[in-house]
Amino acid sequence: MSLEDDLRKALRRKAPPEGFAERVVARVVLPPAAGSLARRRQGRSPLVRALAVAAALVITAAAASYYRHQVVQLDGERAARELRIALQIASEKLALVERRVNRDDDTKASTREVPR
Amino acid sequence: MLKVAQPSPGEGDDRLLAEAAAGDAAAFGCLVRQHEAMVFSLARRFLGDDSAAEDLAQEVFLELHQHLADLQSAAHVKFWLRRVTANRCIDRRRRRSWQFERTVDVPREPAIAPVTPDFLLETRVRGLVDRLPARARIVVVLRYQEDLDPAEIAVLLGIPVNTVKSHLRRSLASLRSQLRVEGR
Repeated sequence: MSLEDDLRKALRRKAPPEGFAERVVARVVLPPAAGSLARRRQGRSPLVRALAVAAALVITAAAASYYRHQVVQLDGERAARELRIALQIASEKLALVERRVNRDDDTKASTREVPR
Repeated sequence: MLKVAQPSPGEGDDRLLAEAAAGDAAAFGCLVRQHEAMVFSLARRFLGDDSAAEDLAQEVFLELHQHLADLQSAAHVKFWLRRVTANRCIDRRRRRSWQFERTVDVPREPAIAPVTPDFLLETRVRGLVDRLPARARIVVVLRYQEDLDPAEIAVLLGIPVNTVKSHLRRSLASLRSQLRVEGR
């Protein structure tokens, strides 16, 4: 037998599962039950769509406001941290200067006493 | 469940189409019955399993129902169904190309079916056809399942006749050599 005959035999039609035509006709006759998501979306009323848009806008505005608040708060915390560090450095410097002044005073006092 | 009458042989196909277009669900059911094996088999050859093939075939018939008014004759309905099914099969196949691709046609017959040399050869031939590229495969399926000649396939797919002939030539050569390699 030729390859073409083999192909005809191998590719002969196959009947669909039982009840196929009935299922197709049912989908035609009863479209809402078998309605697709797209069709359900198309069927939504303008009021529902407007409410959905409004809700989306409110959520977006709230998120933007929260984001701005977070940015301001972080800026404030960073400024406070930097101020603390600056004060700490200044305080250490003052302590160092004070120690040197005290040491100089002690040295002068001791040299003045020696000639006596 | 809705009952769909079997189409009687003497029934005028064009009259059936006119009745279905006028909204007669029973007439539409008869149209579906007339063409269900063709549409389902084309889809199954491409998608590999009954469930996906039934989904696609149902979609094609639902689309047919929406276009009944545009179709002029029973021959036009057949042409339209073949063209839409072929295009949908190719589209679906492209979309699924990233998914697991079956390369062997697993026989769905019950285990008690006799495993004859013919049965094994048919299974092997189907498996090799499944491995052809989408465009070549639809050409082969339309040629040997639907028994269309190259000119009809060219019109159906909107490609030149020479392209159809070249797909057929190359596919047959490839199938022949693979069958030889596998020790036909």
